Amino acid sequence: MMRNSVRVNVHMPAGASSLDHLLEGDSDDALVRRARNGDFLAFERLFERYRTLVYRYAYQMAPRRDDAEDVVQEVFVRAYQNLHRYRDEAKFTTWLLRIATNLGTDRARMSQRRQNLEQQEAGGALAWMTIGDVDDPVQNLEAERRKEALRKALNALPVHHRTVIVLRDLEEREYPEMAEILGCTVGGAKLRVLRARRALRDRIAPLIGEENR
Amino acid sequence: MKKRDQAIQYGFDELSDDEMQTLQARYQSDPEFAKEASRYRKIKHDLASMRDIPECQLSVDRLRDAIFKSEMKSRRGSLGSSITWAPLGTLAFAALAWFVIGKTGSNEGTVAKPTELQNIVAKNDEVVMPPDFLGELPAYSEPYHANSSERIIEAATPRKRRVLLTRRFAVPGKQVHSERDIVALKPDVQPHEQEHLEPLVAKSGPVVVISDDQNSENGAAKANEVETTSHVVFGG
Repeated sequence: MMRNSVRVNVHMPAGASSLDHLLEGDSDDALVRRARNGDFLAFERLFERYRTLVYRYAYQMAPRRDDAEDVVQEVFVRAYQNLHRYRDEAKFTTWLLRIATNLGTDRARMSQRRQNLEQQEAGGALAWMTIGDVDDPVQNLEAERRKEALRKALNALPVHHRTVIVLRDLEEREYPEMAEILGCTVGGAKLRVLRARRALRDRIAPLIGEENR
Repeated sequence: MKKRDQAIQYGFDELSDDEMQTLQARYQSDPEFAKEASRYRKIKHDLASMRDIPECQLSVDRLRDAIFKSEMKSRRGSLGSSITWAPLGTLAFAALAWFVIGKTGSNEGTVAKPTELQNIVAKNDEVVMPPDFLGELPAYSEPYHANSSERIIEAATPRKRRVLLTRRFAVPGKQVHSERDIVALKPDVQPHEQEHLEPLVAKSGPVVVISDDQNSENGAAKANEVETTSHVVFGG
């Protein structure tokens, strides 16, 4: 059996030992160090790497794209201004999400007020125009109704409950990382999630015609 | 753990294997528990369906711009605050300077010593004086505490002294040449003013008496130096 071989010429800089050098230069810590020393391109790389992560969290907390993008921008501006405060013992993503949670509290409240007003104006008419994933229109409508109810219930939750639901059930963060983001113990994070789920269940039940327990 | 909390943990699949097996049996035997756990499972499923979100369109350029603006803002803020505090700083400095100068000035409440007078004269005199003009002044053994205007008058050159005295004890149409003129020209000098004048007269050193006669060469008023004002008779 003939095997085609491809020859690749890699030009390594003199003195560079291996690919490890490049990987080292590309790690979060290395980029942070470079950014601290004034290399803005390094910070841009961090931004490109993690903007979606922050955006996802921000969007779930305040489900409007422009609001979420504003939050992302603010998080990275603050991160840049406070790079000297970042300690390597925490992951950079954890640090970013911590900034986002601190920042998101006020933003979420603001967005929630605006959204409530918009929902009152729209009167829920948009729900009928939504196209679902399933072919059966009745199922689609039911799924959308539940989704809409869940979104309303989530937005109606106090911010501290919403934060943990978003981190755990929407962004699937592990409890130890959540503990770091929230500044509490792992047990504390678990307890917060349990309470938030209870609260969410209590909020959603009347919206979908279930009884509360 | 409460039944409801167990249902939550079961519905969200957050139990250890042992706990899961235990609750599995309960799930099959307890319809109420099964119903509640199913509700939580549905919530978990619905939450998962909310993970699809529109794409983030925030660009690097926008971030760069935002960081630039925030940097500018913080610099403006620090500059603005310094501008706000600048007048207060200036006022504080002025007050301090006034206090220090006032303090130093009170030490200078005594009549200036001849050497000091010589310095002042050398700087301000308009009339050319012989170098030893003030050097012959007797030293003051007991310093006289004069007020600021008197200190100025005493330290002034003869011509300035005349002007200052005229200004202070102005009598229309009359020119004051020395302290004695004041008494002569202004009989209504108040007792407290006279008290200040007497020591000035008594302790007066050599003065230059400027007469109304003019120098034929240059047209300036003639000036004669005398040892003390006590030997000078002034007249209108």
